[in-house]
Amino acid sequence: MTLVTGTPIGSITSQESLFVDSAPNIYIQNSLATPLYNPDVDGFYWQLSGTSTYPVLEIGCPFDISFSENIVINDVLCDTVGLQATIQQRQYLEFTFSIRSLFPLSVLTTLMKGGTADVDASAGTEKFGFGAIDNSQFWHVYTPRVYDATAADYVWLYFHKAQFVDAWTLGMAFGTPWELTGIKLRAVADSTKPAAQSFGMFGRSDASVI
Amino acid sequence: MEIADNDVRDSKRVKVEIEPTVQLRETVKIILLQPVNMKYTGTVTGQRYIWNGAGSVIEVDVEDVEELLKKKTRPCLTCSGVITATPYFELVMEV
Repeated sequence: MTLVTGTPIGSITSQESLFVDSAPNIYIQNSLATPLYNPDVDGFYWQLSGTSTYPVLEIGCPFDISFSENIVINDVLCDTVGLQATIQQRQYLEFTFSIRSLFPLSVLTTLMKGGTADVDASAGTEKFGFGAIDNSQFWHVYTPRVYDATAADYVWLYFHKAQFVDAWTLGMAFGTPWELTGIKLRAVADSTKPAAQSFGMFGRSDASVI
Repeated sequence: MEIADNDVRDSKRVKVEIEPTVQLRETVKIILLQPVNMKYTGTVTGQRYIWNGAGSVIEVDVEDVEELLKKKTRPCLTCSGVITATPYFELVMEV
């Protein structure tokens, strides 16, 4: 007689008691650059390789990072039996975050949707303008998070084509560092990539368990 | 018109050494690594150099190169592991 535990019989895959804490690092690169793995041996397109023309930018001191998606949902309703199915279409994936590292302005202008920074290395000045937003600027996004530094185990998210969208706020409160909040990095589908990874991918490297 | 013979003409020739008015200076190619429009005035020659965007390459007088290559961004202490400063420029190695 089997023990009555309520556990299903047969093959069971359960989740690990492993928890990832803290925020990932956020790297971006002009989407005109090709990813480092283009594709890798498994057919996935990901990772960044900074070049002199398309350097990789690291977003410094991010906080309040969240990752979400936007989908269109429409129910399939039949007047005979009611709801039969729900049709869902992914619209975009979105990173929302804030930062406290504002310099150099050459990176900040990207987050604030400003113009190209103008640097005078002799005078020691850097400047950028606020003008019309360049809606044709897209970025690769790579956000790795090492959850076991000893074993070099990590997870990462990668997106092919993302844009900085929505309005930001630069907070300048007394006695606190300036904060640029409300930054949204929205990843849309890249039609040049395989349909199963048209937006991007989620990966994990952990040789001890995989 | 009196025409002097060869010996007389040769005796009137004056050897003139011409000083070059434009001195050719040695230059090297320098590439900009940061996504900015960069201006720099050479500390030795006083020459003005302008790069338009990351990856742009211009010829720089060798006398200005040493100081130029010292230009770096401020180290990022809040970034991942990499706390070294990033150079603005790099020498283009021609094969």
